[in-house]
Amino acid sequence: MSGVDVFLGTQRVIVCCGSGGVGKTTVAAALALSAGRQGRRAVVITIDPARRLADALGRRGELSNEPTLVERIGTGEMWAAMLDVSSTFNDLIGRFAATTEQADLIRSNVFYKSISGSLSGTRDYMAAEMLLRLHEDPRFDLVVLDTAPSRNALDFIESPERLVRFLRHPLFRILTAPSRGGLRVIGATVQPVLKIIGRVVGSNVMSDVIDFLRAFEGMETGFAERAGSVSRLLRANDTTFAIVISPSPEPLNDTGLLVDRLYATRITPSIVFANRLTPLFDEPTTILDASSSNADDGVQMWLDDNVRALRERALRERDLVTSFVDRMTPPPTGAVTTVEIGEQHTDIHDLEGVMRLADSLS
Amino acid sequence: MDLAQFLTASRVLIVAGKGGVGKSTVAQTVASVAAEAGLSVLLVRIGVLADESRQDESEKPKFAGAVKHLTLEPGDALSEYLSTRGLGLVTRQLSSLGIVDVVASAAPGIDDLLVLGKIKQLARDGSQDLLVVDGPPAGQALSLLRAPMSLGRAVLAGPIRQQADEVRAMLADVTACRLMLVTTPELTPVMELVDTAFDLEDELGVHLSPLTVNRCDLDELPAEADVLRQACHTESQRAALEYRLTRRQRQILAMDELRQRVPLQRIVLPDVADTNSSADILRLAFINQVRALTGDTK
Repeated sequence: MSGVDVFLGTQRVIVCCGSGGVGKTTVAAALALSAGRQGRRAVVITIDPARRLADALGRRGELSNEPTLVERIGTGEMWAAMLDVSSTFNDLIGRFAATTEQADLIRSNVFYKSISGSLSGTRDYMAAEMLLRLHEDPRFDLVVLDTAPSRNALDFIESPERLVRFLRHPLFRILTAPSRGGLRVIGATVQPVLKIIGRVVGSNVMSDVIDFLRAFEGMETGFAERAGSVSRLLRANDTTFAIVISPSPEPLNDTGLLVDRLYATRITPSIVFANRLTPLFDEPTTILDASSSNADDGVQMWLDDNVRALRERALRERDLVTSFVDRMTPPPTGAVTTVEIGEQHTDIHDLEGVMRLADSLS
Repeated sequence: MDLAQFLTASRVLIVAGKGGVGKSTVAQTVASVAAEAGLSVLLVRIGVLADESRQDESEKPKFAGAVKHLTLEPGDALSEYLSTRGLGLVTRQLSSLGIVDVVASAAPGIDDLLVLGKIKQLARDGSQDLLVVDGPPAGQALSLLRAPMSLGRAVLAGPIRQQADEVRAMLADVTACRLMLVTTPELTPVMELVDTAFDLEDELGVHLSPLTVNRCDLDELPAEADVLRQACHTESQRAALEYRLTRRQRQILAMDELRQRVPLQRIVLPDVADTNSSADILRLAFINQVRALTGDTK
C-alpha cells in the first residue's frame, strides 16, 4: 500500500490547503474518489467561490450544501457538496435558537443579512461548521475539505476561535446587558464607546449590531461549544492536513508561509501533493542514420532541443518541490510524504478526468 | 496612442487573476515597462502574507527609472484609519481592549474598503503617474472590490459611508481605475476569467483594460506536426513532442474560447523559463504587444 492509500484508509478528515491555481480542488475530489474505491464512504466539500469542483465533476450548478452521491464503487461511495454560506448559517441559527420567534428575529436583522452573505470571515466559519456537520453525519466516514486559497485557509482554521473570542468579548456582554434587566449603570459607561464606534461606522450599523446581539442572547453558549468541537476536530489524530503545491516559485512562497503558520497553530501537515509536474523525459540520445538529409538535421535538432528544454524544466520543478519539502520542519510524529502528480493531458472538467487523476495518486 | 499613453489611460491599474497564472509577474512587468518609459510608478501589493524577499526588489533597479514598492496590510487598515482621523489616543485604548477587532467584525469588509481607500488617496495626491496594484486572486478580488458596495448598503452615514462612496466612484471612473485580468492559455483559468470579467463589469461598473494571457507557447514549429512525428528517432523525442503538441492544442482551444466569450484586446506573453533574463524577455514582449495593439510604430 502506498502512503496515500494508508491515509485514505485510516483518516476521518483530510483538509487540502494550498495556493489558488495548483489544482487543489481536483486533488481533493480525486482523494475522495480514491477513498471510495477503497470501500470508504467519502464526501468532498469545496468552499471555493470559483466553483471549480462543480466544474471538475461536470455537474455545474447542481452541487449544494446537501451532499450528492457522485459515484458508487462496490461498497464504497463518493459524495460531493459545495458550501452555501447563508443556508449553513440559517441552519445554525435554527438549531441554537430557543424559539422560532428568536430565529426569525435574527434572520430578519439587517446586520445578520449582511454578515451571512458572501463576506469572507463568515464563509470561513461556515466552512468549519460544514466540516463538523458532515463529520458527524453517519452516512460518511471520511470528509475531504477543499479550502479557499492560502490566505483564507488560515482564516478557516482560526475562525472558530475568533468567533468564541468575539462572543466572550466584554463589549458583547455589556451591549446585551440592558435587556437582561435594568443594568443602566453599565449602559452609561458604554455610551461614549458606542459613540466613537458609531462615528466611524455610522450609528445605524451600531444599532443593527446591538439588535442582532440582543436577539442572539442565549445562543452564544451553543455557538462557543460548536466552535470548540471544530477546533478539536482540526487537531484530532485522524485528521490530516494535506498541502497541495504546483511547481512555480510565486505560489510556493505563499504556501511556505501558510505551512509556517499551520505549525504555529499546532497543526502539522504530513503529506504534500506536488501537482502538475512536467514529465521527466529521458535524455536525448539520437543517432542520426546515414540516410537523413540536411533538412532533416534541423528537425532532429529541434526535437532534441525540445526534449532538453522540457527536461530542464522538469528538473527545475523537482528541485523546487524538494526544497519546499525540506523547508517544512519535519513533524514530530514522522516524515512528510511527498506524492508527485504529473501534468494531466487535458483540463479536468468531468468525472473521468478526476478518475484519471485518482489513478495517478496510488 | 503610444506606450506611455496606454499605460496611463487610468491612474490606477489593478492586476487580478486566478492564483498561479503569474499575476504578480505580470504586475511587476507592467510596472517595469512604465518605469522604463519614464513614468513614476508605485507597485502596490495587498499583503497579509507579504513576502519579505519580494520587497527587496526595489533596492536593485536594473534599468532606468526604478519601480517603488508598497505593501498594504488589510489587517492594520482600521487602526491606521482611526489614527489618521485624529482618534489616535482613543484607537490605542480601543485596540488594547480588542474593540477595534469587534468593529471590524461588526462591519465586515471594512479592512478591504480601507485598503482601497488608501489606494484612492495615493492616486489622488498626484505624486505618481501610475499605481499598479498586485491584487488578490480572482475569487478574493471579487470580495475586495465588492466591499465598498456591501458596506455602502449596510452603513448609511458617517466617514465609512463617504469612503465607500468615493471608492465606488473611483472604481467606476475609467480615467481613475482599470482592471487588468490575467490568465494562462488553459480552459479552467479562462472560464474563471470569463465569469469574473462579467461579474465585475455588471456589478461594479469596473472598466477592463486589455487582458493578459501569460505563459503562452509562442515558438514556431520547424515543420508540420505529422512531419515532426515521422522524424522522431527515439522514444524520448516522441514522448516530448507529443507532450508539447498536446499543450499547444489545449492553448488553441483556450484562446478560441477567450476570443469568443470576452470582447477584450489581448496581450500575449511567452512562457519563459524562470531565469535571470526572464524579466527582460517579458518586458520586451509586453512592449511589442502593446505597440501592436495601439498601432504605435516607434
